[in-house]
Amino acid sequence: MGILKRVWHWFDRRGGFSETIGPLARHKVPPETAEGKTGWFYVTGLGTLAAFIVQVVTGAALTTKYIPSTAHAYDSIIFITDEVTLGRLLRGMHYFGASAMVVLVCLHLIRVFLTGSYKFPRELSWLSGVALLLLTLTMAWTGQLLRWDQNGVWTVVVGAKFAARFPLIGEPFANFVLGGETVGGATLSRFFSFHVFMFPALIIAFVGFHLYLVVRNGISELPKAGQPVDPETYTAWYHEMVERRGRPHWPDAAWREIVVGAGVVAAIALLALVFGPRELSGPPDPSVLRANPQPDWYFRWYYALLAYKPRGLETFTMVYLPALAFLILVALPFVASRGERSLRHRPWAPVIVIATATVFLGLTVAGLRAPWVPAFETQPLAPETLGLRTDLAVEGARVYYAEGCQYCHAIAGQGGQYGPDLTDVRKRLPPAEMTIRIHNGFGQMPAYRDILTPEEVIAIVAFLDELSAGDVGAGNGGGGVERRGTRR
Amino acid sequence: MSPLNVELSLVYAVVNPRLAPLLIAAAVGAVAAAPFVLATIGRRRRARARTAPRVRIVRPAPGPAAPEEGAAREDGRDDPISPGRRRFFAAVGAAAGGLAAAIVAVPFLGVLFAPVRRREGAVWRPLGALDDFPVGETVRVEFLDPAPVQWAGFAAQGAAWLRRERGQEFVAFSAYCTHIGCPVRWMPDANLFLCPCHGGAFYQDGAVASGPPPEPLFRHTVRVRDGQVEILATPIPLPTDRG
Repeated sequence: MGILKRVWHWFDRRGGFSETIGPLARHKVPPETAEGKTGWFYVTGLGTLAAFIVQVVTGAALTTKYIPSTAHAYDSIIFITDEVTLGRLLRGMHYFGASAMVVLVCLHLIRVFLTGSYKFPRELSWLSGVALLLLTLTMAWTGQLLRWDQNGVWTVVVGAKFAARFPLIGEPFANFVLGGETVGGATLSRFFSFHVFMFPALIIAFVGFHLYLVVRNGISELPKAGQPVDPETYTAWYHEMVERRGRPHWPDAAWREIVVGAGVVAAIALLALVFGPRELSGPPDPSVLRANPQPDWYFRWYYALLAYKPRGLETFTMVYLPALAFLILVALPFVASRGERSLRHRPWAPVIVIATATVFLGLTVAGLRAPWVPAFETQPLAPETLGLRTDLAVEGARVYYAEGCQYCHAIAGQGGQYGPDLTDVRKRLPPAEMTIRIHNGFGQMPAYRDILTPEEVIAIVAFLDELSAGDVGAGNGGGGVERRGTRR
Repeated sequence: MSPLNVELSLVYAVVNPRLAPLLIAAAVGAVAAAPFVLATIGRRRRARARTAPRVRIVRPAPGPAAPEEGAAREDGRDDPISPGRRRFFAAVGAAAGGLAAAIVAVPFLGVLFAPVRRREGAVWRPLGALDDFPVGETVRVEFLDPAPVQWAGFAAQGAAWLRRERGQEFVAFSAYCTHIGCPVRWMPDANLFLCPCHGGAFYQDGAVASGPPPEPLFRHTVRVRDGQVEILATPIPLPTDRG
């Protein structure tokens, strides 16, 4: 007997590993989860876990250099990125690990929903999964904050403003988030503790419970039409089926999961190598007001939702809508704990998934483009390139840029996207209507009657009316402005 | 503090350091009494079960029923522990565990929730000499938080937008957008406060001009004393409509 084998036996005799872990690893799973193409549906959970393990390991390494102090965290991250050996890769892996975990936890949710695996007896698996989804998002959010750049500071402020909207507990909740009344010395260490100790501890506890339940109740078999779940008979039927036709989880099914998990780890490292960590967005000085805080990509859908929601629905969007989504997720296994799991009998399930995914993806794209953000950096176009003929129009072009119209409106591709492109506005609006809208505001357009002098409005309207007007007859904008002006 | 926050009195009790020893003592007392209470309840319930008519509850058998240890030995004379004592032991174990958890929970919750008590701390902070502020110009002013800690570094600084209207009359706007709290910036060319997050815009008097913000910009109180302009530094203004 080799020395290694003898050492193993020494441990095994005392630890009893092959008696306990062996049968556990080889517990029987439904055949279709361990064979052919269908086996590949059952890998999202371990993929998420792999990403989580990457987060724990890279996160632990990051804490050896990160200083959770409001005054020093930013510099310590710059140090990690630029000076520490492999620090850039480490930060990149933690960033893409977070992205991977968010993506995979959502894929896992979709898989479990589509296969109806939340039904009896696996309701607790679903509920602990919902808790893990929330914890994952909370970790993503607190992680964005711990970067403690400009974005991080304003992330806390936004978090406090959200907390303040909770009924009854609003103000204390906001103070709880800030660790005081303002962003201050206590704020960051608080989130460091949440992100590094408390939430991970909760995640580990819930993952343990989640995995215990998978072994306890068995992985759900691939749904078959005409085989509804009946709590009276399901458990006995399942155990009998697995006993008769099941295959050992290790290695028949587990190899796929581990291959996917390894693929996740490799992809995280590759992305980190190629793209690096998320760039820092300026020092975390809350008194610097020229900041452009924007959330990480996985929250852009919500960022977009906040831009599109009608005014007056703030508390609804920030408190009740998330609460409603949470309640729906929690209620699902209670409302539909029995019955058909097959998609043939649940045609609405893929419809819900596709509709929800479309909404989320659409909002994410909108949030990444963020057309509502004022284009603060736009350079004025030279009036001579715009084909202006009258001095009034040239003066209008000057006023247009001097008064900041370009923050929201684009001309010839230069300027913001919040308001309509004004390159061809003369084809859509008569000058009188332009004047009215500048004066009184229109939709999201502010009213400029107290900001611009009547002469400036006349000039701007003349400018807009002559734009792209090279091939059209002389504009008559002046008259419209005159009329509107006198009527006022 | 609004009357609604009374719901939090429990949290405040935990937060109040003077109450901590009292809470721990109460927990110890409750836990010490718990085994006796639990054992008594158990005895009553058994007594009731003996007199009450039997109702058969049919449940699907969860596999082969393992004989309960105590029950198997019920008539065995050699078991030195009576079922009642065994129940008492279980209650002692549960209570001791609960006690340990309660003792650790007091300082944990106390420190975790300490910041929920708003200290109502508004402090006057100097902004500069009166003559440094030209009439009609909106400028960014920096000032120290109402209650900074020593090590806060730049996090101790806050900022606002200040404009001298005329003479000694000032107006100061909080930089926190009333939508979700991003920093609005004064655009002197457009004469608007613009928010970089969702394009919210405010007129120079702080009223909403456009975009998603639900309310006008929060105003700070400003005063002039001995030729010095001072601002009342307050906690981060929170939305007024909590509906």
